[in-house]
Amino acid sequence: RDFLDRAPLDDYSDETYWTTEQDAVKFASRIYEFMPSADFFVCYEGMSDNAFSKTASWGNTLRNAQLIGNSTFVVTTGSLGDEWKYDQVRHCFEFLEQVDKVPDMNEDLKKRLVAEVKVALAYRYFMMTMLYRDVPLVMKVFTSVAESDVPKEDKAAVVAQVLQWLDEAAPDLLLTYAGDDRGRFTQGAALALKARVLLYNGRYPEAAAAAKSVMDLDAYALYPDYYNLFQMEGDYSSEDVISFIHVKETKPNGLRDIAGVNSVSGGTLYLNPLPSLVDDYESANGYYPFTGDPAYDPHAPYHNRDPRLGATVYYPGSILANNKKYDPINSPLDKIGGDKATYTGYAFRKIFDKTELEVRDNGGNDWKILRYAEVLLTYAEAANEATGPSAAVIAAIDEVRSRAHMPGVNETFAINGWTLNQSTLRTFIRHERRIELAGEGHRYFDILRWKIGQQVLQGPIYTLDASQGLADIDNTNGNTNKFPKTKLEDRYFNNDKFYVWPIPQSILDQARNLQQQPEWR
Amino acid sequence: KKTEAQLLEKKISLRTEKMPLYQVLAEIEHTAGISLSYAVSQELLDSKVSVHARNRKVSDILDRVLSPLSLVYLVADDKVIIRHGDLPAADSAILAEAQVMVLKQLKGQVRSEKGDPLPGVSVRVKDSNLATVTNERGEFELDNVPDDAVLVVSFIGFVSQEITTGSQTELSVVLLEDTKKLGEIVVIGYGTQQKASLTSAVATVKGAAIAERPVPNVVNALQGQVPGLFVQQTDAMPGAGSTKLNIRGISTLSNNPVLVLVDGVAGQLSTLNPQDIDNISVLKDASATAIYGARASGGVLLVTTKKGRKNSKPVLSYDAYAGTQQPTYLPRLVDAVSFMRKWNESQLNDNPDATPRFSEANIEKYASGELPSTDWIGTIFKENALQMQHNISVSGGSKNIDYLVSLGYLRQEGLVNGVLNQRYSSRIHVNTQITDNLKFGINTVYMNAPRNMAGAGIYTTAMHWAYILNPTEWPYTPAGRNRHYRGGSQPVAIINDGGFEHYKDNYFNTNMTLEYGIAKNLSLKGQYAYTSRDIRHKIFRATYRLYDDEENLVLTDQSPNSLNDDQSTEVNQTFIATLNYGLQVKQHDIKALAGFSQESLEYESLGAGRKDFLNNSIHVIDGGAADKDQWSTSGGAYEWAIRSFFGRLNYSFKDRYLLEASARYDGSSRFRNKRWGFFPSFSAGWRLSEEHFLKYSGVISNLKLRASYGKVGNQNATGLYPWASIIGTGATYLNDRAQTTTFYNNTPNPDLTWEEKTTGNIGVDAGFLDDKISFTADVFREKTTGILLTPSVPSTFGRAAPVMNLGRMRNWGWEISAGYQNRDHLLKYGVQLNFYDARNKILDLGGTPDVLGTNPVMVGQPRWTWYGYKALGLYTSDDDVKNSATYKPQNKAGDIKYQDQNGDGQITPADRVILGDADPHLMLGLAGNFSYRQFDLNFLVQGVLKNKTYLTGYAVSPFNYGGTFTEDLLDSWTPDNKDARYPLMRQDLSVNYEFSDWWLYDSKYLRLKNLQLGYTLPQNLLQRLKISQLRLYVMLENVLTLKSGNFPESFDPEIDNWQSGVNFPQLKTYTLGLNLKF
Repeated sequence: RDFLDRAPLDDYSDETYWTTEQDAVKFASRIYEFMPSADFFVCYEGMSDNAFSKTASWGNTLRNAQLIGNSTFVVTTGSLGDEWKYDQVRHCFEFLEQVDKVPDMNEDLKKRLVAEVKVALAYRYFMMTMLYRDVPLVMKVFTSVAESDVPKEDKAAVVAQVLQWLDEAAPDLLLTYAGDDRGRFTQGAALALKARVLLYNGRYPEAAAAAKSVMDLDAYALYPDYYNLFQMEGDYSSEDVISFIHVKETKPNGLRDIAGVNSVSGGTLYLNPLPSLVDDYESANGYYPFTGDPAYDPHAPYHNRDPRLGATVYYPGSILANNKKYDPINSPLDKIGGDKATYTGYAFRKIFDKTELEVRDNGGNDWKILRYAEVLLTYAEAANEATGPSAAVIAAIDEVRSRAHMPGVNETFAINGWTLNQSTLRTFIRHERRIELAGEGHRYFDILRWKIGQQVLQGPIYTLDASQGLADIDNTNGNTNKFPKTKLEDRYFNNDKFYVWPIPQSILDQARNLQQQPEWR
Repeated sequence: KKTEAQLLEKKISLRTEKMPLYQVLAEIEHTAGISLSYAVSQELLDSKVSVHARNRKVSDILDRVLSPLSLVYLVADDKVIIRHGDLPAADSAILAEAQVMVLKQLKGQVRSEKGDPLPGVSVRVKDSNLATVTNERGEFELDNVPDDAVLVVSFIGFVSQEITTGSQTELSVVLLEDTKKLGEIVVIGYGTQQKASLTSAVATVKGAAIAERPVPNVVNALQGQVPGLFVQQTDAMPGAGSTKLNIRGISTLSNNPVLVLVDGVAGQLSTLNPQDIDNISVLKDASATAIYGARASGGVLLVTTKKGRKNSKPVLSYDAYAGTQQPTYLPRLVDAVSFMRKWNESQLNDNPDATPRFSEANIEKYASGELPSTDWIGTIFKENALQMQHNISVSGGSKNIDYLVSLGYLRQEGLVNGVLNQRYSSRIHVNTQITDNLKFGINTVYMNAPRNMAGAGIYTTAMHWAYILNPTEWPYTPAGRNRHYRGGSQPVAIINDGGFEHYKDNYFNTNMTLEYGIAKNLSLKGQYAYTSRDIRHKIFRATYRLYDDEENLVLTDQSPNSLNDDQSTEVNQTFIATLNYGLQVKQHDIKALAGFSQESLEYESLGAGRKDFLNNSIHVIDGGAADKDQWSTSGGAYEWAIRSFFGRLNYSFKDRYLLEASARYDGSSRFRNKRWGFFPSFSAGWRLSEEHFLKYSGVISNLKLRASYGKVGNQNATGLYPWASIIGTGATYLNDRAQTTTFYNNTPNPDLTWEEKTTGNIGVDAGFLDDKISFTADVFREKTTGILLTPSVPSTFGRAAPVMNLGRMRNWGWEISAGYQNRDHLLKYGVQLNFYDARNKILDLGGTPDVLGTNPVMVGQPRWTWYGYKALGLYTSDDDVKNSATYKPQNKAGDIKYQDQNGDGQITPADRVILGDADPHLMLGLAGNFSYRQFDLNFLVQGVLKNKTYLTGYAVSPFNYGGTFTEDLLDSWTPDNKDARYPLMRQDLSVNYEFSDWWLYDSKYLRLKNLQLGYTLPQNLLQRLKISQLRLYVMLENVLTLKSGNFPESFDPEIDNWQSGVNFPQLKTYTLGLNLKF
């Protein structure tokens, strides 16, 4: 060889790729790295009225969730481009364009991989349309820089393409996988994602049908224990439809730092549940608001509640994962407003891996991207919107509530004296959705699609209100069991422009044919 | 220096009519610049001789003059001796003549100013034929010297001296170096050249200027020494700091680092023992660098290491210094009470309804001293750290061999506990003349540089910790255990118990040359160099425990413990062959050089790791767990190669009209389809001072005009294989198991080729009053085209663009250096000033959009510029906020007010403007030297007169990661302090910390880099101890810095842009040293 011919020594090059099936499998499997991990997606909680993310003085941790949550972000605020991911689009099309090069490839395997890649494409474009509305629809691998400067496409056209990919993918995917394929997109994944896309786009009859098609697969069932579903024992459960796989030693999640109570795992606790969420849980008997329950005790507001509250949130008096009592009023490490302590008086329990607490940042529990309970609630919401209350709608909601040991819809409506109609059921489904999916990042998208930002993301937010004193907190030895309701910050969702994210300035600067959203110009 | 014998080849013109022989010989000595020794009778010396010679060799003239008188000349040990032709050849002793009265024997020794004995010096009794030369020890002996004789002591390159002997019989003569330095030789690419005949922009730094500085790395001694050579030390962590280095500013959008060549072979300054350096040449313009065309776009530093001297007795030198290091500036962090009050205040500034974090009772505990306020900087940093260096060398030579052996040891302790940087180095340099026309040399270096860092990883984070920790906390429990911090670890525990990180850097380099004289004017030289660098890197993360004040265990950190043991090897091989030809025809002098070189580098690394060691005492892989799940491995490799052909042609006429052309043709492995590049240059010089109209000027002693034009290249594209489409690998975790994934990692460009820089340079060198005053000035203009640029691409392209030959940029500047040197008196003194600047401008980005941002890449602007909001000040009142365009809904009095450039009533990115240059300008260096009898004093002042620096994070904002802040920030806006430097203090940093010129600091400075006072013990004292020289000195480095009052008190003005204050500060050192020679 020529003295000057020096090729890469520790990287494979394209010249020898696409020769075996394994080449195709490895290239396709990259799409699972594109799916949202726990640390990434949990940030959406801080952008919603479920949680407060005190991050403005902690660098950009949590994707600037505080600035998005209080609507003080500007077009140069970092992290607004986190979901604008055309590198993923390119990778997917590179696969679709190259996979035919592999000689003698098993046809079923090829079809399945193509289908998996289409689901990933669908997910990516779906997320972009949710946040940026109209986006460029890239459908190929650009070979020159010049041709890549393309304008935005209408959201409807992009969504149509998303649905087409999902429809094409579903039949070629397996219902379940075994061995090292566990975790790949299943047929149910494509259909459930389709249901979510349709629901989020207000196409209710189709959304209901898509959700129904998942239910009819008979492949999924709710996991019996709501709390443990989100622990490591709930990984690969009957309820998982799409998950991001975390492994304690090798691919841990950072939730124990992000949402961890300092005295348990040394967590930084960037993300704090808001009273707005905690107060939304019914009483154990279904009274809503919970203060309407005859058994309500202002000194024990967390007793006698929807069991999902205790499973989701650490509140004063909760027993922590290290079996100590959570005291955010007196504990030096956990005191409200203290450094690395809660700002609201609450912390998330649901997503926090309770095992091997001495290793601070290592959570091994998978992140539920889409689970069967959401499919049931999608069905309920879509069907109610399409045709109003029905036995099927109520059955779907009751399935979710009964796993949580909560009374059914009819019983709950009766106890609260509500009339069942499309409107009241809509309100109830929205409430049920918030409770069931709390801590999972979905609430922010619900706010965007229900257009309730001005109601729930505007005005002051507060700490817990323990001004009456909490029975579970020891008030002897100089301790107190009271804490006054204190304002944390003002939120400024005062304009419809906040329903769509601006295209980050740095992305606009790179292109000539891309225009900023009209509301952000 | 040329030997006397070589000078006999020199051509001179001479015309005398019936002049006494001794006068004729003196004329020859003067014209040819040689000195002759003679053992000739006075009678013959008085013989009248006529000579008519035009441009004849000295040897020919001597033959013509001497042969009629039966005299001959011979060359012995590089001395030219004239004697009677009829004497037996073996009897070369100096003869005495009967005519001279016998009175006394005179002995003596001749030394240089530095005390080195000078062999081969001509010692002659004036107006007589009595003469001799000094021996290897610089000693001479003359018999039969008249009592009142005047001795003429002369040596080439030194000022001749006349000494009236009086009645002395022993003399000690000190010869001063000839300040004119007309014979000064400058190292240039693949050769040397007389400074007088240089036509390119080359500056030199003498080895002494580097060896005499207490800096571990050579690069830091170069700061302020030479105009156009910019050095900025942005981080001074022992053994791992970072220093910016460029020659003549920024000329590309890619990266064109300075090419460093050590004895002709590409190398690194960091691998050099400063004591081994003889000389550094800084090649600045294309005429000087084009011979290295390939990688010379950033300029070239040619380092020449020391060698022994033929025919000289062995000299053993011991040079050492030891002293203490202190930071120039350290962050001054607020105490607990200020911290608590400001925290509370900032909470209320964000949200008037907030419950302040710290109660008055709590604050009172710290105010009263009941609880300690901890200065975490003080717990992490020591006040002083030792630094010392020892160097021993032996050098000398015989007739056919010269040698130098040098051993060095450096020890630099860190200001952070457990940080230690050491360097053991050795060099053996031997040259031997095998036959008349065959010469072999070998220069071999071995260096072992172990570097320790405390508590695995802490060294990079010690400063982070100092900011993050709150002064309201403390490091130890009452029982003295490591106290937890916020339920986690803290730096004192990490430094002391967290394990270690060790590097062992083994550097080996051998450089062999073989020179063969094919014919009288033609020689061939071959050079082969092998360099290997092995770096061993070990990190041990020890398990340790943290407790609370009740002595309860809170956390077992770094559990399980783990070891990573990595090794990398880099092998670099260079082969160079050059053919040299010289021809002199009458007054035409032609030199030609042709050469070939090739260089390749291969790198490999391999690493292993294990976890779960039984305890913290074993630090070898086998001590870890047997369970293979606790094992890990890693490895990588890369290589590159470059091959070149080059040549140079020099022509001079009458030594005053100078022309030079050089070129290089380079091929690089980094390019595929367009691999080869051609880089020519031309230059010309005119020595006006040699012209008749100036030759006898009493004022102007030297004047030369130079001009050059040429092209150089740059191959520093991103990555070594930009032409290849590379498949990257990652991992996904299906079924809880890591599974390999692949992806295209780049966008290849097989048509990528060299970036080209065309440079024009005009310069003048001048000397006045016998060169007491010297002056050099250069102006240059450069244009870089086909810049290796990764252009901005639309995000929809989906990947970074390929590296492309895109864009054009201009760079221009000027350099001045001026000096004054007086050696005529007992008090000798000199000053040397250099001053320079460069400016650049982007001309074209190949049609791709400007890259906006805080440091934008914009056509028409310099490469480094600031772009952002223009700050108008701080809002004076809430009404002011209401009446202005605001940036954030939270804005209130005390926040930064930005200018609404487009007047649309809101602050948007459209309101961003250019806010000034982001790189330093107007650099200067001022060096001074004084000597009086045994004392010498040197200083170096260095500075940057124009600069704007942007700092981020801890350096400018409070409460980062819940941490503390510097005392500078106490000057933040309050209703009582409206003239504040810092805005309203908030917890929410998104309000005021968007980039605006409010955050640009004036970072100009002047610094006393070095101040040195030396004392050389007198000779008569040392002789009894058989010591030939002993000098003691005190040296202060970086002790005084003047900076703008606008710049934060906590930071060194050399801090880099974008730093958050976690860089290791510059060091000032106080050292004592000695130079000893036997």
